[in-house]
Amino acid sequence: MKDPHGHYLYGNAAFHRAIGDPERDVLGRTDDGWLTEAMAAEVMRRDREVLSSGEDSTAIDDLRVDGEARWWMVFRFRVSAGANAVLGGVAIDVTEQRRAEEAVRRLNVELEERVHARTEELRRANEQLESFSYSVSHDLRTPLRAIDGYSRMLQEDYERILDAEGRRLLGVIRANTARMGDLISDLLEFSRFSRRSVQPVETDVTSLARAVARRLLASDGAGRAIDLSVHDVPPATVDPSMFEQAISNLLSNAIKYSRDRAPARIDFRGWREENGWVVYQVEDNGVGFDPRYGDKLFGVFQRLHHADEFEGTGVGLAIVKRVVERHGGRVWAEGEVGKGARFFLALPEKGMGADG
Amino acid sequence: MDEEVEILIVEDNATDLEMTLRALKRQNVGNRILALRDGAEVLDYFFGNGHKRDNPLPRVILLDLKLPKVDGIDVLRKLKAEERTRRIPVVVLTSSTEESDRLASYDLGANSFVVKPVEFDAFSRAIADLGLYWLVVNRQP
Repeated sequence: MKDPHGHYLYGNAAFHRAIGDPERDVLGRTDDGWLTEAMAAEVMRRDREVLSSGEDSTAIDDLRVDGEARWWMVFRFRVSAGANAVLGGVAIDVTEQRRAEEAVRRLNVELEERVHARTEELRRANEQLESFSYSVSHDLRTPLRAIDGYSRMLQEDYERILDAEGRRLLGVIRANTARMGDLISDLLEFSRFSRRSVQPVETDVTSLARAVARRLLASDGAGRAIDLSVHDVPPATVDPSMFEQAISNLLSNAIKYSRDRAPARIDFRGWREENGWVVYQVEDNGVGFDPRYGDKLFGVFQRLHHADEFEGTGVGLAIVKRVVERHGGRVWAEGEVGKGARFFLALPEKGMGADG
Repeated sequence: MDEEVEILIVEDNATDLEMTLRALKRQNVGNRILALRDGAEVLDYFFGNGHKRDNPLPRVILLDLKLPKVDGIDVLRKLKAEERTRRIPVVVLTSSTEESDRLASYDLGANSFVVKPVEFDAFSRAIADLGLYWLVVNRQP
């Protein structure tokens, strides 16, 4: 209990123990005697607020006794005693709770910092890896051009003095150079899809797929009987150029692997699932694949056919997978040898937002 | 050095250079070709001290981006910033398919950006077309 001027009128035994005053010396004195000036002023301010308003308050007071920081939860109330109001207070020492809270807070901050640092490290490592694979595939092109170029010069300038076998050997060198050139280009392409930022917008997938289909029928499908239908499908929130590449890869695969069929039948469909995902499907009546190796389909440079059956580097589906995953979606395939294949792309309908 | 230089090739790679020269010769363009091997040589040729200031200006520059000492991008920046050289057509001829290289080149005022094909026939054709276009078809500034 204090009078309006801050003089202690009464304190119980616990109060005296807490402030280290067993002699009950503090009675009649103010907080100035044992608190720093700033603390005492703050305590006085809080006391006065309750004394003038008459409203109870609960506050955590930061009080230092004998140089040790301690926190008290102080409940203040005004006791009316005639003309002179008296301030009553009940204080509970909450130092231990406060320290525990403080420790948790510090730990959280530290943890966050550590996560942040690790993420940054990971991002940097990833960036380095990407730029490494980029520059490797880049620098490989110059010597490759030289191999191709010089074997071509040999072919041009010394054709007359080479016999059939010599010409065949040179042909093999050049065919393999061309193959390696394709592999490098596709690897670069794949790395580009991994590095580029995704910029999703509401996209009319139906028109996009129709445009891709028209283009592919005129190029890859030229001169063949192909019955390709693009049905009306739901729109999606995607990066249009990336998604176009994914659809293009799927449709061109469908055209490629159905080349023994006349007519080849290819269908592009899409629907909305109840869980809010949109699924697109490319189905063909081509050579299909052995479902036992289905999980290999989407790996980089993974192929299920021999190079002399179907040309290709095995990067197309890896790009499809990378594009879809970068949109927060997933891909899978169903098929059987000789019975065609179905490829599925599932995307969360609301899109993912830019992921940088 | 008083004779006119038709094509300045900036190329550090000896095999790329030989193939480029061969393709130009086949096309019968560019009888007066000067080849420099790094960015510093180019800057010295155009902006070096004393008599070098009078070095003849080429009608077109084929510029590789990845160069020792001074990078192709820096060479391009300097060429396009200087009154004496900024009108010389510069064709960036590079292995880079990187979008950032392409955009940076155009931003700096490159007149053309050509990716060197890996395949020799395509490479020769590209070089021959470039020579023909810049020396015969295109009107000089």
